[in-house]
Amino acid sequence: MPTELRTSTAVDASDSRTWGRRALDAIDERLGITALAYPVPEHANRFAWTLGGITAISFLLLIGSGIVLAQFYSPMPEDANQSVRAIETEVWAGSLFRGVHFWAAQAMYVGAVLHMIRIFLTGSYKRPREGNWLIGVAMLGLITFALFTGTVLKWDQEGFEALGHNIEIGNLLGGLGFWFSPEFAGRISILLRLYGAHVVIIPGIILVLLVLHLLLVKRHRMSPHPLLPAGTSSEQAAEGEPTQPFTRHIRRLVAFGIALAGILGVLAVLFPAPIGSTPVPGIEITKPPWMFWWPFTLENWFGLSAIVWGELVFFFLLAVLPFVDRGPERWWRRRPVAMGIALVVLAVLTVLTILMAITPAEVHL
Amino acid sequence: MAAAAIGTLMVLGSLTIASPARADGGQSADEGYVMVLQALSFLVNDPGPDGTAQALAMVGDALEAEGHDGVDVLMLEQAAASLRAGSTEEAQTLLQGSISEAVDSLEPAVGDETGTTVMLAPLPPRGALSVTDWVFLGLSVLAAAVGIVLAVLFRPTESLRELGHDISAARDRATVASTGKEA
Repeated sequence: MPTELRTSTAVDASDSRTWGRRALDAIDERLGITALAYPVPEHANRFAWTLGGITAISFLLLIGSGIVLAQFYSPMPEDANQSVRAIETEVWAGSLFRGVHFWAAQAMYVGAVLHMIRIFLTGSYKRPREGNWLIGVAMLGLITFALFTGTVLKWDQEGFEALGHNIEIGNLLGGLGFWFSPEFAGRISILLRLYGAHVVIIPGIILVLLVLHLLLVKRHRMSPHPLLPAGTSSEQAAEGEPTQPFTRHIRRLVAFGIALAGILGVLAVLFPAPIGSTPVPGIEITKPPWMFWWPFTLENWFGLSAIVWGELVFFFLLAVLPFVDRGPERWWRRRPVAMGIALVVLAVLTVLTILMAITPAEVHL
Repeated sequence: MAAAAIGTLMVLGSLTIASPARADGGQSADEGYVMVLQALSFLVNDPGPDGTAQALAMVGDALEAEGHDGVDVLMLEQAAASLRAGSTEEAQTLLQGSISEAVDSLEPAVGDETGTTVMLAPLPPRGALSVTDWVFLGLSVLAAAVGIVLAVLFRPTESLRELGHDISAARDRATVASTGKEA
């Protein structure tokens, strides 16, 4: 008899574990769930350090509510707006699912931005975590793209005007904007292609990047807290810092997730997602969603190409950050130059956003 | 990395192979029936004097447009009269009726065509909450409360300052132990 089998039999005979424990161990033996129980430094269980996880929970809520909405949404231009109205008025709890989807999208955007601000303030993007920062920047870009495609999908005047801007930006980019050209696949509606992007391509890429993001977090370990004594290497938490298994970290995340789901549910009931009039080409009477306000103020001032340049500069600054700010200091108070630049960028974005809030819609195209 | 690569490609593309922007989408904005739809859109989005004025101007443009294919000019003129008289609801009905032939002959929408045949106003805000809404609201409040309570229960037991002291103490102990061994 092989040695392993003999050992296994011997263990079975004297096994004092409960039935449930044995079942869990059997599952773990096959799926390796205990690999999730890797040690996480205690400081990572603070709220600010769980913002990334809260963003991921928003993503899960979006997938769940999106699956429900996809059962009733029609991505054909003749019927898209009406199908959204039917979800609102005819499908049982359809308005609530759409409301949760609408608010979860904004929660994910806000969560991602706050997560990145926390990473900036604690210098967590510094060596060896530059690659993971870039993955995060790419995910923020994809979240923005998902918000754009989601706005278009309701196929009302606001969504169609957003699409019009994107088509013109695609034209401005020449050959590289081919995917946004209606002529790229002239036999079908661009709405259908954006629907495919919204429900498959974008969430699929986000999911792949999210897995990479989490694997790199595990590989590099949680970044040290700048206010705590550093380890032998300033890149890692001190060896003496208490740790808890990652599963405990997840436990707190689940608590935040339950709270977030409840808050989104309240918002969905009290502030349902709007749906505008059926779309008409050639007029501009709406404003885009608030997260697109700052580039649209630039458009009001400098024309359509300013949207492209504004977004490029913004994402370029984010992408080069870890390669420019390479000093050993991590705490924000000891990085006056980086903080000064960040405050200027934040002030510009805030002012541009507020200006769009108080400016009536303008005709651009 | 992906964002940077895409960004670089977009910049290079915009510098090298930019083409002039088109002023309109797949549906020509100067077609008579599209102008009528635009007038309807102004009306349903702003039923007040501003919207009515914009709609009236657009109906005027539609009447002067070269292409009237599928548009009932007589109904359009009646709609203009209704707008001037302040009867916006009657004007909407007339405007929609005036393009019935044009929208009936539309092919399935392709490219960036809207496929709009009937102008629907923005969905009005929901009225009083239904039983389902109340149940969902109650469950949501409960979930929010439970989640917050659990988050508080699972919060770290030590403050950052205490954690710092623990780490320093552990480091000191390690140093003493190591010094002791060495001695």
